[in-house]
Amino acid sequence: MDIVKETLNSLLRGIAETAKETVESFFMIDAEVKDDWSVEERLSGEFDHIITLGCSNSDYQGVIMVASEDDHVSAFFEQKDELVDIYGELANTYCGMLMDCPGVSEQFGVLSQAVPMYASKRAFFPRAWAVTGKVYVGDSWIQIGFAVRGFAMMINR
Amino acid sequence: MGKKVIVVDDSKFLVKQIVEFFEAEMGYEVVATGNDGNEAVELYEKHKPDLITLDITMPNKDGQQAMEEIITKYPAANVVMISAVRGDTMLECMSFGAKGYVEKPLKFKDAEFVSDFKSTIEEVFEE
Repeated sequence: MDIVKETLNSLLRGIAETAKETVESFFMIDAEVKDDWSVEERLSGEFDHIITLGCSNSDYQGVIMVASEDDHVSAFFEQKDELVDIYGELANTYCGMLMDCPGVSEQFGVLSQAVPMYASKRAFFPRAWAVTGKVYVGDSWIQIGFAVRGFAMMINR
Repeated sequence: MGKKVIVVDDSKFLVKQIVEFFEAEMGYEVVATGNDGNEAVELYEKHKPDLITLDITMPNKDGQQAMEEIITKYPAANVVMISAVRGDTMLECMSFGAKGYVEKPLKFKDAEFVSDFKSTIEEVFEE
């Protein structure tokens, strides 16, 4: 079994809880995660708004994704014109908090962050295992994902 | 008279929160704000504030580089890093001369966080 997939499976709950804690502390609201978090073979999906943030060290390359549909945004914040800024900072904060999540930096090391980038409609990060799921406030949600791949894994594929 | 502060972060959303913290909680005067490391250096030279806060992950020039430039040119500068970056970066910044390092998220509705943040800033001026 792929070591990255195996590791992400073992850290799945912690990574999901870290997403919840990030949203709660960032927006200062109560949020929840449900059972829709899973490990997938790539980070992909179609959303109205997508922010990705790269992160890496000498052994691993990762991507943080924050995404949502337009009509779910207002449950989290009112300043819709600042969405790119806010999601970018949320991704930045989640990346930092993931490094505090037990097991993540022990396995992957500390991943240094790049600046966030905005995309619309489609996110795609291939050849990387990803943990992704939703963080809810009521019925509204933000999709959050963390994909990672080892440089050695890319060479061997 | 309140201390003069510059706040630099690439998130305008966070800049507003940090400015509000300094003005409402600390009674400081925020004389300028910026969104990248180049602006940080320019604004520091222009205003010579009592304190500058720097995010690390920013476009054009990151906050750690800006901190190093500012402290190299102005060794008495009071620089506090406010960042989500973990790992050795904190030690590197403090070793170079940053006076504090506050980890994001900034929980401004959490009384304990606000108290700790205030203490970090006050300690800068007690050294």
